[in-house]
Amino acid sequence: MLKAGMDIGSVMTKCVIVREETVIARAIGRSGTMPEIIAEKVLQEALSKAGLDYSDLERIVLTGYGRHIFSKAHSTITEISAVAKAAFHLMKTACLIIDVGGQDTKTIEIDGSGEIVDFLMNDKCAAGTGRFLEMMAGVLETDIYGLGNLASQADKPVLLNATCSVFAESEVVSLIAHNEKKENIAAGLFNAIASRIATMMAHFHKDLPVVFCGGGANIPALKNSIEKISNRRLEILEHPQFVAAFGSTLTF
Amino acid sequence: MQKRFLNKYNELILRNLSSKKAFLNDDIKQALKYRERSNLSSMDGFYKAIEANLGVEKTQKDRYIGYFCSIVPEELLIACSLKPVRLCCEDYTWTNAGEEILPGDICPVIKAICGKFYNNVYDYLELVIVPGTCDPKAKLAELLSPVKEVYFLDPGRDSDYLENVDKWTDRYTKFFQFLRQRFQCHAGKKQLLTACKLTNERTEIFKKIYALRIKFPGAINIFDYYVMIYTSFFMDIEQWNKMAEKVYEQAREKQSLSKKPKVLLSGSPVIFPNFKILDVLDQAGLEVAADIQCTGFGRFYNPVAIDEDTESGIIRALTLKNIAGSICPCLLTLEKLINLIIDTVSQYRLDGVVYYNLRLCQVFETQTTIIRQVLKENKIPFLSVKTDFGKEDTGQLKTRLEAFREIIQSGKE
Repeated sequence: MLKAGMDIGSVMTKCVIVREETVIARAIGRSGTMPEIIAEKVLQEALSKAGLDYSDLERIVLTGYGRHIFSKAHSTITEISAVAKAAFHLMKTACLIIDVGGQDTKTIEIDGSGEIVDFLMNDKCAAGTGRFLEMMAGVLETDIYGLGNLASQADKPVLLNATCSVFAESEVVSLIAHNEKKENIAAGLFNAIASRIATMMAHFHKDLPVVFCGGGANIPALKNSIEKISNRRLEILEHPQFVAAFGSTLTF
Repeated sequence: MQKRFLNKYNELILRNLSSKKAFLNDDIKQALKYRERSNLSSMDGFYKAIEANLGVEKTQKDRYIGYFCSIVPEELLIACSLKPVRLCCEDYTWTNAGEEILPGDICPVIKAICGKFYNNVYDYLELVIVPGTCDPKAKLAELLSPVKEVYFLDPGRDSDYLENVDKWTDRYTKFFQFLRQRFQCHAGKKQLLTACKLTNERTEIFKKIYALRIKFPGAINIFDYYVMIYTSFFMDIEQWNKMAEKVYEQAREKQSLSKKPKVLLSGSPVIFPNFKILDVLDQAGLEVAADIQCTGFGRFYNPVAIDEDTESGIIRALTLKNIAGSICPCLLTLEKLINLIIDTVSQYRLDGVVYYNLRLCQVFETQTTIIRQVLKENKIPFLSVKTDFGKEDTGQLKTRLEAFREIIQSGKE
């Protein structure tokens, strides 16, 4: 059975084409202000990579913040359930999932049969999300991956007090003005997010394996920070940014 | 408040001068559209009552007294021929008006209330009763004193009946004496009994409605339910009882059944027009079949149970209803609340619990983690959400609640 799974996030739109639970093509694009047009484009790109036509698809399942906006969808599922399904499919065991996305950071516990036991997410402010990192990268005149590279070269990470993205920005600006090294500021930013994530992790069973996905999992500096602060080892799921899109295809 | 501060305060308040005056009732006007979603013609009267309550001059012959929280005994006011008006309010635009005087990062309910008082909305009230339930309320008594006569009713924050019943009876008795003196009336046992009969009739009707909504979820939709309770804040009780009875009869005939998962809503109070959380629950496919809220179940569920037919016996019974029976987190212990949640869920076979935290209302939020933990151990699906009056996080909330619905449904399969 050929399916397309699309995760229309607040920042990126991801698409996977799946044949019998195996991914055969992936595509990604920035959601922007016209998410439906971008969704169409990303879907077409994934289809052409797979050498398929729209008519070959039997089902299109949508997840993510924009899951209700794409009229071609046959069904929708929340990204929380989608990520849980994908993680269980890949891990086949009870685990704690950390998903750092653009607008939300999720921690989800699944049991040995793949059912969600509980989940926690950030509240409405952007602190602790990918968007926060993007904004801070902008202040340091780099992008989110550049920010990660900077952080990996830090010798003495700064301690950042503000977790509100607006106040964090002014704190970062003030640190730059005081000639603080960009590397140390970047590492401080990752530590600030990692500390919030570690707090969320503490609400779940302590002996579960921890898996990491979402766009945030593409940044090694974030993984390192979380591992250090939470004192737990994180396993990155394969193609972490596409986990929710893939998970959506595991539903009917 | 001391006199020398009072003048300063009056200068600061600049009464009648909110820059947003033209928009102040927009929330309510907008929210009246929930009427279109009602499947009961008998609800019309309640929506009309809200409309009529906007900007209409109150009658001269009646004496109106404002109050907050469920712990203030309306019966004492009614016995003195006074009209109680509950003022707890969650209007976004009024919160905004309140911020012209008060700081932003404080309880939004307090800001909305002050916004209204400072803009002369409550000039028709002769007195306002402020209970000392939570810290912001205790401060509210002072904040309102420059513009209104305030009676501060503080029963303490311990709801153990045997420990406190004498103290509570004493506080209520003093309050009753104050009312009789202040309004020169001679109310006694007879008037108290009449008042209790009236509120007990209301409790009876409410209990029927509550039971009907659990048995036939959706028979009275959740918006109508909270609209009915909101109108009881200011409507004449007899009139309310008659109208509520009609709604009950009509809903009972319809017996509409909802297939959505049934949840219990607990946490911060939901007050018209701020139905944001109800809207999102509805959109996420969840049916609020029962609630543990001081603006729902907690407002009406306990009757006045009089054992001893004397004035002090009645007052004692009122403390049992309003204070010992209160579900306010400042009074009710966490253990009792959790037991109440678990009992409600198991008795009515509900599918889960949604705990609503209004941002900056800390008493509710503080207990979230423990409730989550205990319910998890009891295998009761639980979700807490935190939000404020702003609409920008509706999408995020919906994702959380939809995921919660998916968890409930996959657990049922």
